[in-house]
Amino acid sequence: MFNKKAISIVLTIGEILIVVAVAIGTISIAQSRSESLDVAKVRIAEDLTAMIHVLSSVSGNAVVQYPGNVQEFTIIADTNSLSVFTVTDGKTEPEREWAKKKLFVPAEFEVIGVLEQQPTLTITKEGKRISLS
Amino acid sequence: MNRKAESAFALAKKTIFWTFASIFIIGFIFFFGFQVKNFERILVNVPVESTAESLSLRFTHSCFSNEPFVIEMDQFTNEHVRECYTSTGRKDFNFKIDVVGQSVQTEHYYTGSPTFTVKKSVLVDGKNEEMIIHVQETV
Repeated sequence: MFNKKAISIVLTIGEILIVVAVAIGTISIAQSRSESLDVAKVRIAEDLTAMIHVLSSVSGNAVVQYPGNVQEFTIIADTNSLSVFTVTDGKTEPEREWAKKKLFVPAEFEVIGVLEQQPTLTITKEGKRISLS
Repeated sequence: MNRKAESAFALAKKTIFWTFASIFIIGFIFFFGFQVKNFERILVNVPVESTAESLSLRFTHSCFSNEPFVIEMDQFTNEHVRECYTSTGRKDFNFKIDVVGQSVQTEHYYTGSPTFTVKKSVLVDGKNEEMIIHVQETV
């Protein structure tokens, strides 16, 4: 009924297609993760949180410039939390829990700041007010 | 065995093989995806000791006096420490601080054993003393 050689060729082609599909699948997963800004986003959130905690600990005024480039991100901070977002084609992505960090500043302290895709970030502490600009 | 039966048997063998192989391959792709995600999580992980250090800096620098590493014992009270650090519950970092036999603690510090301790040198009435900061994380 079936030609043995034809079946063998079809199965071999099928096997090659599956191997190619697996290769494409794994490469596309790796590529999408490498192009993702998730890691940078979390690192920026962690860095800024630590900087705010340290600044709220010291007496006196201070100005600190964040050494990294934050142009691809939108950063929103208030007294309770700090969030980092990416903006793609003018649309801000929904808030991600892992890119939102809780802030613990002393009572009477105020943290304020909204940065939209600015290349540099400066944290200024003046009295009991910490601002991101 | 005749040739037709042999051919059908070979086809069945391959079908069974690829059924299991496809389950394995799909599983492998999911496993790979999870491994990449897990690697990312490790990359961005900040040790709790580092976070606790940055949070507890206030206890040596500004909570109990205006000078760094100086503790004024009249300001070494629970009220002062709670003004300096407000946790919302036991899932946050909580601290208990010991200096010259006196203890103060944040609001949600659980009276069990701490996760770890941090030691700092401070000046109390002009004498070198040790400040022991007991840190609790996610009790």
